This record gives sequence, structure tokens and C-alpha cells, in this order.
Amino acid sequence: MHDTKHAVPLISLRGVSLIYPVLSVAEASLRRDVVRKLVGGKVGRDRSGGVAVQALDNINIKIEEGERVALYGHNGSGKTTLLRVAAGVYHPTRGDVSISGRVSAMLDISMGMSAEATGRQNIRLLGLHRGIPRKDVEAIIPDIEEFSELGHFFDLPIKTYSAGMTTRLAFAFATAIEPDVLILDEWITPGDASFIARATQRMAEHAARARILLLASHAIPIIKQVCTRVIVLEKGRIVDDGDPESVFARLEAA
Amino acid sequence: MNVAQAFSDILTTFKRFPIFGALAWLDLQERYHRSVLGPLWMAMSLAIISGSFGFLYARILNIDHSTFIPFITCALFGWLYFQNTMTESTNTFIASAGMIKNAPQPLFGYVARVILRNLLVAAHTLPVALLVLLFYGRILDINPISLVLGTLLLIANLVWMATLMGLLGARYRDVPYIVSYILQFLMFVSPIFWMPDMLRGREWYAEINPLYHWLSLVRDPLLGISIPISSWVFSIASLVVGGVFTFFMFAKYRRRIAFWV
Repeated sequence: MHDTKHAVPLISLRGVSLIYPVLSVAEASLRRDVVRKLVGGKVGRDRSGGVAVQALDNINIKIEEGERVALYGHNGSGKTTLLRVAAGVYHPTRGDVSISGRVSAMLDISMGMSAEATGRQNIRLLGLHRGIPRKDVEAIIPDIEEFSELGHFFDLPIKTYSAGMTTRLAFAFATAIEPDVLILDEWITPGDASFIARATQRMAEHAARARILLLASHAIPIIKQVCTRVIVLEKGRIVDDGDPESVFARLEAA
Repeated sequence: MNVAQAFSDILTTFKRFPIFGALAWLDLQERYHRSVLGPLWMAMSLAIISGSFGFLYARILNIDHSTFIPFITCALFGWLYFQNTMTESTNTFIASAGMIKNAPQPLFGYVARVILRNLLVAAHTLPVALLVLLFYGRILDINPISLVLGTLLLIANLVWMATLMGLLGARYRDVPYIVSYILQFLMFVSPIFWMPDMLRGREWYAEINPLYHWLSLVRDPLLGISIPISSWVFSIASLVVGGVFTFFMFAKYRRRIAFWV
């Protein structure tokens, strides 16, 4: 399913649906579950929760080398879920996913970093977790240090950072590892104008190397600047798919 | 349920073992980072409990301390390892939630992380047991082969239990409390502060306790006693039954872990 060799990058989702359980506090008690089963379902009639969310509904997408794709849609439309499926972190309840190429994903601001560790230590941790050899990680640290513009904060625990600083660090790492497939979720939200400009520039540089870029964003100007294709999601379904100018024109007309 | 994927998950964990070993090591570094005693804490804990309980209960039970203290120290060494692993196991996946949701790695790797981390901690406490044995002149009684085999068998049992507890703990949020309650109770009904041969004859209610057997695997070789056949049999049986059951649970619920944590 996930091919980490440098094969021709490709993301393919066929018939992908995803329903995920939302566990309320009442649901998440073993005691309650055991009691309910022992008394044949009579206790716990007031079961609040038991909610399942259909986050994705029959998604069919093929993204090929060179494409720079934006997912556009309201909050809750399924963008983040789709990105997580593409990154291999969520498994669909139905359908097939196939991805080839080295994937780098920035799916949430934490990236799986550790609050007590410093920026530098966290870069090493992120590299370790993604299976990147130690010396390759050391080699990219200077670039990350420079791009993130954290100054001496680079060697302070990330719990002292602002959201913008954490975003800069995470983004710098995600782009520094030369991925074949770069997946970004709303990466510019906590960023200031200067960061957005530099990040967009860095992304354009990366995207220019004919790999795959998949991102979720609300920022139409940046999508128009960076992306070759926009997929619009609504309630977990694809409602439009095409080049940015046409898609946004249709959205505006609607 | 996808058995092939679960199998592949476990195999990939072995292939990528260094990653999870490094994470276990970093976990400990972070844990001890701002602490005063650091890794000495566990060792001191073992020394203090076995010292204080040891002398007191030796008097109460009217047993010579040269018999009782080595016994209690070795039993407690095994027990603390078991207790720490079980306590942490409920958080196996929850504690790694950030990593699970950001980059794909085999989920069994996070079980490996917990097991290895606790093995490292146990290694810190072993010197205390060895020093006690040395002091009482019993260090040469240690049976190294049984010790290695017995320890491996205990670890193997802990692997499936940690996986199962991790799944339960990720799904049900009261599991850590349940486990902690059970552990407290087990500490008293298991042969840690009392010796098995103090029971008149074979008592089924003592031997029905898995820890009666699992503790033997580590305690007895250290004391130079041979591990009872019944304990070997029980421990291998528990490994097979527990291991198979947990494997199927893992196969069934593996894909949901990312949503539960």
C-alpha cells in the first residue's frame, strides 16, 4: 500500500469511504459496556453518544506526478480526513488507497512532537519517527533552523513557542526532507504575512520539482498561485474537480 | 478484521525495531530530565520496600532474614517490572497519539516501545537484587539459563498483555483505574511478601493466580531454585492462549486505534 522507495509518485483513492466512531464519555466506559451486555441492553437506554460520522463518501481521486492539488471546502467537509487517509494515518472503512513515493505530511500543528523537548531535539525526534537516517536528519537541521527563523528559540522547549513558531518549525521540517509527496493541512493559518510569502515561495520551489503536492486550504489567492487543480469537498463528497480558475468561477457563480 | 495486515504490522515492527528502541530510550531521558533521583528512583524503591518489609515480615512470620530478604527482593524485582509494565500498558497507544496521527508506523511498534522502556527500567533495579544476593552469599546460586529463559517467557507474556491493555485503554477510559486497582490487590495475593511453601500443601486459589507462576519465572532462578514444572506449563499456555486471542483482537481493532486515541 505504501511504497517508500523513490518510485513514480502517485496517490490513488478508489471508492474510499470512511465512517469513524465518535466516542462520548458515556460510551468510553468499560464498566458501562460490561453492565449493558450482562443485562441484555436494558441498562443504558439513555445511551448518549454512539455517534458515527461519515467523513468520506465514495471518494475517487487519482493524483499523478507533477500535480499540485488543493482540497477546498467548508470546515467539516472532510478535507483533513481525506489528507489523513492519503498520508496513511487513517484507514478507510471501504475502498482502496494506494500511494507511492516518500510521503511527508503536516497534518496537525504538533506533528507528533514532544512539548518538553527543544526545537532541535524535536527535529531529530520527527526524523527518527519517520525512519530517516540520523545523518540525513543532521544534514537538514541548518536549513530548518534558518528557514524557521526561530533564533535562539530553536534550542528552547517547544512548549514555549507560539502557534506561529510551531507552524514554522513543522513546515520547515515537512518541506526539508525532500519528499515525493507533500501533504499539508491548512499550513498557513497561524502564520503572518511574511511567513506566508516565504512558505509559498518554498512550496513553489518544491512543487517545481515535478512531485505531488496535496494541500487543504481556504486561501483562494494562494491556491491560485500554487496549485494546478482544485477538488471541492462537501459533506465528505467531491462536488467539483478542475483547474483553480474554472472551479472558483463556478463556486462564485453558485 | 485483517489478519494479513496485522501480521505485516508486527513484522514491520521487527524490521524497524531501532526506531522504537530509540523512542523508548528518549522516553526515559525525558522522564528523568528534570528529576532529582532519576533512574535511581526505581532502584531505591526496590531497596527500601524489600528492606523495610523484609525485616518486619521476617519477624512476624518467624523466618530467618537471610532466607526471607533475598526472597522478597527477588520477588519484588519481578513484581515491580510486571507492575510498571502493566500500569504503563493501558496508555500504550494513547501516549503515542501524536505520532500515530501524524505519520504511519506499525502500531505494534508502540507496544515494543512500552516493553523496551520498562525493560530498561528493570535493568536499573537488577543491581539491587544482585547486591542483596551477594550480601547473603547466594550470588553463585543464580541459575543463568533458567533466568534467561524464564525472563524471556515473562516478557513474551507481557507483550500480549500490553497489546491487549493498550487496545482496551484506548477504547475505554476507565481501564487505567481498573488495572491499577487489580494490581494493588494482586500484590498481596501473589507470593511476594510470603513464600509459596508457607502454604500447607498445594492451594488452588494461590496457584490460580497467574502471578504465582509468572513471578516464579524470574524469582526462582535468581534464588537458585528450579522453576516448578507447573509454572513452565502455565506460562507457556498463557502465552499461547493470550497471544492468539490478543493477535485476533489486534487484527480486528487495529484500524480503529487512530480514531480512539
